[in-house]
Amino acid sequence: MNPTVALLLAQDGITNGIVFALLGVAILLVFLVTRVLFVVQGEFVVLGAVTLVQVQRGEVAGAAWLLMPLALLCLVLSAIQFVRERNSRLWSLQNGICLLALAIGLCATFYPPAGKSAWLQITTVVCLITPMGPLLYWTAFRNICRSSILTLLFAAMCVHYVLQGLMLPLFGPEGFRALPLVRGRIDFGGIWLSAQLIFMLCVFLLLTTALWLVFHHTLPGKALRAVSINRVGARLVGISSDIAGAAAFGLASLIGAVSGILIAPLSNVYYDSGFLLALKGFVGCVVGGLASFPLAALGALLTGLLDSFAAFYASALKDSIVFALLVPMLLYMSVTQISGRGEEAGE
Amino acid sequence: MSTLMTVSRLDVRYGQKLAVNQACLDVAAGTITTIIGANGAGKTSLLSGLMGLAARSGSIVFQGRDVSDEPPESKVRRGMILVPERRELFGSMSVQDNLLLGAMAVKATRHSRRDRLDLVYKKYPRLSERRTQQAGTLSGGERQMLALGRALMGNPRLLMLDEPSLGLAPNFVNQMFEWIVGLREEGMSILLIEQNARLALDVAQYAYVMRQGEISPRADAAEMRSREDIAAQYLGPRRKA
Repeated sequence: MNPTVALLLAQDGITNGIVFALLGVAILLVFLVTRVLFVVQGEFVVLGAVTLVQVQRGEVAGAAWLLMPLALLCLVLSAIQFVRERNSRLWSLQNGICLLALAIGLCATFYPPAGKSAWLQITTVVCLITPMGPLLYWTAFRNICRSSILTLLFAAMCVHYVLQGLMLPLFGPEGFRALPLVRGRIDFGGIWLSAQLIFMLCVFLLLTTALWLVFHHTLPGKALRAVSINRVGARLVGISSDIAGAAAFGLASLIGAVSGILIAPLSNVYYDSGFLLALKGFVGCVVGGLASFPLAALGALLTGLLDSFAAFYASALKDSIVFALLVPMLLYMSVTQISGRGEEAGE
Repeated sequence: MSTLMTVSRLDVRYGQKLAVNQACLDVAAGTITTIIGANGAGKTSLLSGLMGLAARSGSIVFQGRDVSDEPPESKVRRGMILVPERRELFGSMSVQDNLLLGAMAVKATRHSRRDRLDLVYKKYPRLSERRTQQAGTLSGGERQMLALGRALMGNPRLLMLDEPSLGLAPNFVNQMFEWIVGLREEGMSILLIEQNARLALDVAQYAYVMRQGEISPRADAAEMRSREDIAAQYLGPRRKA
């Protein structure tokens, strides 16, 4: 391998790594707050990417046809709960977000955003995808949130299959590729870096800094961290597990939408591309020990680099090589930890 | 004296096992009510059932309102606050963050939250010295102090203390009980669960005894102290003063 090829592979690896890192951070956040291993995260990325392409083409965003039924389902569930239980309220955050999601869906269907403004395109994607996180939490996970990690994983797999099954007829089997949001190359002392890579790095740093600020310097952010540190303690100080779960899912879908926007101009995204992405993000999390956000992001960046170099040396085995990373990590964890963390008995 | 909380026919179960059987109890406003009993009698389960942390049936009326089916977070909002046996602090967060999170359920501005924080720091200066330290690195006594401080941040109407003396050094146990008495003198209503029955009966006005998931009728704490069967079972040999 000569240096030019190595540099290209490294660039490629870092671009992949950034997407894996964003996925990894979101998966870890959802896991720490709700104990759900959120394999559905990849679907958010696909939805984000496909929506960006459809908005660029001036088509009606197919995601609206997922968002609106989901919001309706959520409203129906909330109405059933209202009839069954005396003490539930008619006006709640949940119903508010359902109505907002319906409004966004209708708006995107009947007034598809026109124009070439990148900001408009990005805003549309984020507004369409982000509400799906809390809505999925309320419809699929809220009522089983005290179940075991395994049950929650089964539920997440079910949601993944349902979403993927819906996305095939909705988007078709073809790949989607967006027009680049930023063009060109930038010269760094003889090394040409693509502007897209710089753009991705900036977004990644901005997003992680913003998340860090929220988690360490605002009370709601600290409350989310508190849930992940001590679930019982969090309930005892009155942090609503319902709102904490919805917030974690909402942040995950927001991060997913942004990852989708970042990945869309780089590669063809198919309706079923999400699962592999989510798994690679998950590998990053595990390499980082499934506990700390910076380590998860670092692990995911390494996974991205390994992914790209493996593709060069043995492209047929690339995925196997990446998933083989899990083996030493799991061995190390099973030797150093006697019992897994997170699975609380008697909860 | 007005009744703050009335619990009737409370059952708490863990799977098939009935940990608390048809418990009835009252907590009078402005008093310390204690529940004594041997290890495993169901005292902690009773509190878990009251807070809604464990599956339960039966009714809980708090300040004249039926709160039986409410989740823990809305009970906390009403001022039912539990300091659990295992403290349940946020170990990797600072002392100050732990305290601030204690006020999560209170409708408060940043300003009034600061005021409460200053109040707690004034009460427990040790916490103020350790405000940036991680809660997980505190000593047992400091942890208990922090758990109590966190509960006070939530503006409790009823403070439920589960084994506050557990694992504390003897001189710190006395300090703890002085604080508990001090809180009652400020008008706080307290439900105290304690294995150290002698100490608990000394500070309480009313007492219940729990035995294998069943709870006795209410008695005056002073009266219970003088009963011989209680003394023989729970108070141990009387030390000469």
